[in-house]
Order: sequence, then structure tokens, then C-alpha cells
Amino acid sequence: MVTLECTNLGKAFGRRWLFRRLSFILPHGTSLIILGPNGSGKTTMLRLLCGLLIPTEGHVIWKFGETKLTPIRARFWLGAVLPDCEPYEELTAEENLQMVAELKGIHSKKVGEWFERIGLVTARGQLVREFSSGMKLRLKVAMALIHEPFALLLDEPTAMLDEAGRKLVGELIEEQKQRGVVVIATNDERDVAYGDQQIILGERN
Amino acid sequence: MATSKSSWVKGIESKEQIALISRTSWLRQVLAIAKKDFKSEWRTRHALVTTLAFAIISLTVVSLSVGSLRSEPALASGLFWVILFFATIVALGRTFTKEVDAHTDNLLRLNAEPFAIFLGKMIFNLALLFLLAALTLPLFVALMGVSVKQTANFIFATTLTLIAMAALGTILSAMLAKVQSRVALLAVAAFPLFFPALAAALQVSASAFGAEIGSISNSMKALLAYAVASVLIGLLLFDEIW
Repeated sequence: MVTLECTNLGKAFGRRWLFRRLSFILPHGTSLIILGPNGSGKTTMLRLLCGLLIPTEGHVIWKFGETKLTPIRARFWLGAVLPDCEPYEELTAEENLQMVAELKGIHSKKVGEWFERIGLVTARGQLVREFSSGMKLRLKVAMALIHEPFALLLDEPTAMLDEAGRKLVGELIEEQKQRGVVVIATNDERDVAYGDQQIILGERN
Repeated sequence: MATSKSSWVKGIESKEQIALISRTSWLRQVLAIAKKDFKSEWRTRHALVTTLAFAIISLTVVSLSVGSLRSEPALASGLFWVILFFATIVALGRTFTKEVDAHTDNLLRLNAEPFAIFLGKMIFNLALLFLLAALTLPLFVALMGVSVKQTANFIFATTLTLIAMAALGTILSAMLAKVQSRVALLAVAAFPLFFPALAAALQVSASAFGAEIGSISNSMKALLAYAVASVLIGLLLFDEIW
């Protein structure tokens, strides 16, 4: 069982606060949608949750049963699709996914299964630099999920996807909720349906 | 740190979680990162081409201006290491810069332990420096007219120096990855750190090229200690830097 707890969370860059005094609990089996205008701190919030940034004030705690972990310690059990977490363009899609599988200790047969799942079987041997933005996003989702993490963090998960891609992401989010929690940062009103809770940033500072 | 179980595992006790972690050996992570770097370099050849071009051009210019250094083994040793030092800076400068520029640094942060990233990158850098030295030395010998007399000592000293430079260069490259003018800064920051290894390597090389400078055993011992210390420092500090 995994639970995300944020207490009085705040992040400032210089003197500018993106958000302050943000507290919430995300229980196992639920999802959170983070909404807000550009520059309100949606992606920053995701980076705080996976330890790529340190909060200016407050705490992020991942609870795995009775065990409490900081985001940096919890990274192994997180999967993240972030704009600055790109696959290697000079490698093929298969080499990228295989590398993540090796880093996470996942059997290589899972790599093939995931290419079928994301609909990129015929493109698996293609260099990522030849991919469209939608194909790259599908690959990033597979790279975030191949180790079946307890928590999935998604930044604009459907922004570049067609209808089939949106349907796939919807299915993956529902599956992930069985395993743990999902946090989605988005500007797309259609993504709101994926969430059980909402936070709107940029409203109070 | 370098244990069979990842340090991420601290505090996580359920059977399925342990099962997942136990499959993720640190060695597997190190090899995955090194393999990725070798593949990337094989496809792009950025580091190899720029480094070798620098070494060959500087070697040619030096040989045209000073000619044969058969009777000047100390000077030959100095020029050999000046060329290798700057070629190393060119090679190591891109270690983490390319990750930051391609927005792949966070992919590594989220999926691999810091010490595995350090060791994987260091292995690639070391291979690159070995290749550089292996291609530069025969050219240097041919163009400068010097001969290597104590081959075993020379190879051992060069290997240790390259290990120290690869380890320290990997750390510095990570520290400077997000800084502007990083290559210039890397040269300035690297020199004092490389200096103890370079000073010892200069003596051994000069002796190998024929200079009479007495015993080199102290230099060899110092090089061995410095190379080991450099790798250990990298393993200990990289978590804080990355």
C-alpha cells in the first residue's frame, strides 16, 4: 500500500513563490490532477514529488506500508513522464527501453510486451530521433511503467496523442491505480476525468 | 554503497519489493550505463573525433616546430602529457554536458543509483582515454623520434594516470555540466586536481624516454595511491554532486 503525503509544501525560485502551504494526502488506489496556468508550478510539483527538486518549505513523504521515504529514497518505486526526462535520440526505442529494464532489474521479455502494449512493435528498431512527438511520448510512458511502479507521475500525458493514444493512457492510469497512485499535471480539461482529487495552482499565493 | 542490494532499499521490507531490488544489482546498472555510452558514441563519434583531431593536430604542429626530441627526453615527456591533458579535457568535457543538453540527465537520476552513474561514465571515459593514448603514443614516438625503453613502467604509469584523470574528470564534468563556458572551466579546475598524477607520470615518462632521473619507484607508488584515491573520492562524493 502506498500513500503520498504533502505537508505545507512550498517552492520558490528566488523571491517568487510558485506555491505555498500546500497540504494533501493521496491514498492508495487514487489519482490527483494538478491544474493551473502556464508557470503556476505544475511540472515543478511533479519534480518535487520525485526528488528532482527540493522543496523550499514543507515536506513530501511517500509511505510504503509503515515505511516513510523521502522522494529521493522512493525513486526506485516511482515512474515519471516529464518534459526533461527524454529518451536517447541516438539510440533505438528498443535500446532505450532495454536500458531502463536493465537499470531496474526487469527481465528483457517485458520489453517486447511493452512494445505491443504501446503499439510501437514495428518501430522498436527505429532511432528515437526519427520518432514523432506522439511516438516519443508513448515510449516515455513505457519507460516509466516497465518496472510496474507504485506511483506514476505524468506531465501533460495526452497533449501529443491521437484518440488511440489517449485511450491507452486512460487504461494505463486505471491499471496504475490498482497498483498505487497517479499524479497528473495538465492543462487539458479532458484529462480532469482521470482524477479523483484536484489541486489548482496559481490561485492563491 | 556498492552492495548487492541498492541503497534505495533502506526501510522497504515487503517480499515483493525486496525481490525487485535484488534483481537490480549495482553491477548491472554500471554496465547498462557504460553500454549506453558506448552505443551513443559509436553512433555519433562526437568525443572520439574531436579528441583524436585535437591530439593529432597538436602533435603535428609540435613535431613541425621542435623536430626530433631524441636527445631531450624530459621535454618529450612534458609535451606528451600536455597533449594528453588537453585532449582529455576535450574528451571528458562532454560526459554530462551531452546528457543535460539532450534532457536525458533526469532519466538517469530517476532510474540509476549515483555511484552506478559515476562508475558507468568513468568506465566509458577510461576506455576513451586508453584509445586516445594508444593512438597518440605511436604517432608521438614516430614524429618526435623518441623511443620507450622501460615499456612496462611506462604503460603502468600511463594506465594509473588515465584512471585518476578519468575518475576526477567524471566528477568535475558532473559539477560543471550546467555551467556556461564549461570546457574552459574544466581545464582550469582539472589542472590542480590532475597535477599530482601528472607530476609523477612526467617523471616516469621522462625516465622511459631515456632521461637519467634516478629511481622512479616513489613516483609509481604515488601514482598508484592517487589513482585509487581518485576512484574512491568519486564513489564517495558523486552522490552529493549529482
